[in-house]
Order: sequence, then C-alpha cells, then structure tokens
Amino acid sequence: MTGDKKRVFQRGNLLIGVLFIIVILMIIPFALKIVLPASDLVFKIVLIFSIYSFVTQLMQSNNTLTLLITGVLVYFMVFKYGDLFVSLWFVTTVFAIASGTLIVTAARDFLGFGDSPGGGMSHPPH
Amino acid sequence: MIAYLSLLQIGGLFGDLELVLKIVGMLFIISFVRSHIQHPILSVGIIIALCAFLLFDVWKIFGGVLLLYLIALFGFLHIFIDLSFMHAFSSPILNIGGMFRGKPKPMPGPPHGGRMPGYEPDEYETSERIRGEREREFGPEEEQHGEYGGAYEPEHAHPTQRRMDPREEAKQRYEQAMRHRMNQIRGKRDDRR
Repeated sequence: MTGDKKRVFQRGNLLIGVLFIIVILMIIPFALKIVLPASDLVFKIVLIFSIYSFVTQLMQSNNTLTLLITGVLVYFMVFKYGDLFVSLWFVTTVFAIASGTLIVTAARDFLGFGDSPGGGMSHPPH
Repeated sequence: MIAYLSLLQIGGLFGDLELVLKIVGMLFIISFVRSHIQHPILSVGIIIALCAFLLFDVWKIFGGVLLLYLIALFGFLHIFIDLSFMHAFSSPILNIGGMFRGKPKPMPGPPHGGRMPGYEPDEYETSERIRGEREREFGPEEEQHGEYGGAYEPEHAHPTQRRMDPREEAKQRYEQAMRHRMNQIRGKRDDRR
C-alpha cells in the first residue's frame, strides 16, 4: 500500500475507457468471422431465433401475422444489416451477463482509465 | 460493409432502422393492449387507434422515448450508474461535475484532532502525555493504513483540492508533525513556530 507501488497516473477519463471497451466488444464478432467464417452463420441463426421468440412473446400468439412480422424484422436485422445487429446483440448479451460493472471496473483497474486506482470503491473526498 | 460506409447509404440505413423501431413499437403496443383487454374485437380496435396515434401522429416524440426505453432495457444505463460510482463524471480538466459544487475546499486537517504543529499543550494534556496515554496518536496501528498515517495519502483528497504536489506536501506536514511531537516528548522548545 506504499506510494511507490501504487499507480499514480491516468490514461484518460473513464468514459473514454468504457467506450473503448464497447468498441472492442463490437469488433469481436467481425474478428471471429474472419478467423472462423461459420461463426457468422451461428450468430445469425441465434439472432433469428431471438427475434422469433421476441415477436411470439409480445404478440402472445403464433400465427401468420407473427411469422410475417418476424420475416420483416429478420430481413432488416439479419440479412440487410446483419453485421451491425450481430455486434449490437453481442454487446447487449455481454452487458446482460456482466451487468456493466465488470466492464467499468476493467476499464479502471486493468486498462488504467480514470483517476482513482483500484482497491474497492473510491474514498470520498473530505 | 463498404456499402454501409458510403454516404449515399446512410439515409437508407436510418430509414430502415426507423421502420424496425416502428415495428418494435407496434409489438409493444400489441403486447400491452392484449395483456390488459381480453375482448378480441375491442383490443384490435384499441390497437389500431393507438398505433395510428403513436406511430404516425406523434412518432417524433414516441420514437425518441421508445429508443431511450430500448437503450435502458438492454442495460446501457447500468454503465452510467457504475461510472457515477467511479467518479467518471467529475473531471477537473474539463470542469464537468463541479458546476454546482462551488470553490474547492482546502486540504483536510490532520487526524489528531487539531493538534497541529505549533499547538501549545495545556497542563492536562501534558499530564496525559507524561502518563503515556497520548502516545497512541502515532502508534503502530494508525501507521498501518498508509505510508503517512492514512489521512496523508494524497489519493484521499479530491483532485481539485490539490494545491501542490500532494505527496510532497503530505510528507512535509508529516515530518513537521513528527518533529514537533519528538520535541514535545523530549521537552525541547519547538523552533518551528
């Protein structure tokens, strides 16, 4: 806990760090698609089922209108702008799992953004 | 991907996103009405009326609110809550977050109750010191919390309150206090006053 071992500099505001992490998270599906082309298909199939279950849950029924609305949404969100919505879906899934706290804490403690180094919640000013 | 980046496609992108947002809003309206009204014909009529009003008449207001609602629903607001816990919105460089806070306060005092260097102890305190009861002020328990006794750690002061190099200032104040304290114990006169 001595002063020499503590990190006393900062790389930037914590907002910039969190935006940096979000951009990295949005790039991950693209990078995965380059390395493993089949992963794009997997992501899109999962996205199609997510859209279908979302529409079925909100319509409270499973009929032709449900399939029609699902088809329109799938056309735009999977086929036309698939890369964008796969990235957004990936980020929201990570948010749902990590609940945001992990991302902010990682930006502060591991990447060095923000002005108060780690060790739990920061001490309030006197 | 390159087609997305061309300027001619951006208007079409936002138009399509608006259509997707309208369909999602229609689904929310259908879900809300069907969960509250069980009568089929009445519910369909109310759905049509609400869709015509919200999705076409006041869409500029309802669309913005719906977008904010979706952002909140997907958990982006937790990020801002965590950021506020980590003091991310108070930047001394950009002067954000200190708008209504007024002038910065001076440096906090030492933890030994105002007995600063230069304080003249009375007889009661002198008798306490002779009995050895006041030796706990700079005892080993307080020194465990930091290099300079806990409260002298410069991270504990707000960045707007730092007048000079905080570590150097804390070191100087600590050395002054210790010198005064040792002079008190030895019975010497403090020349620092």
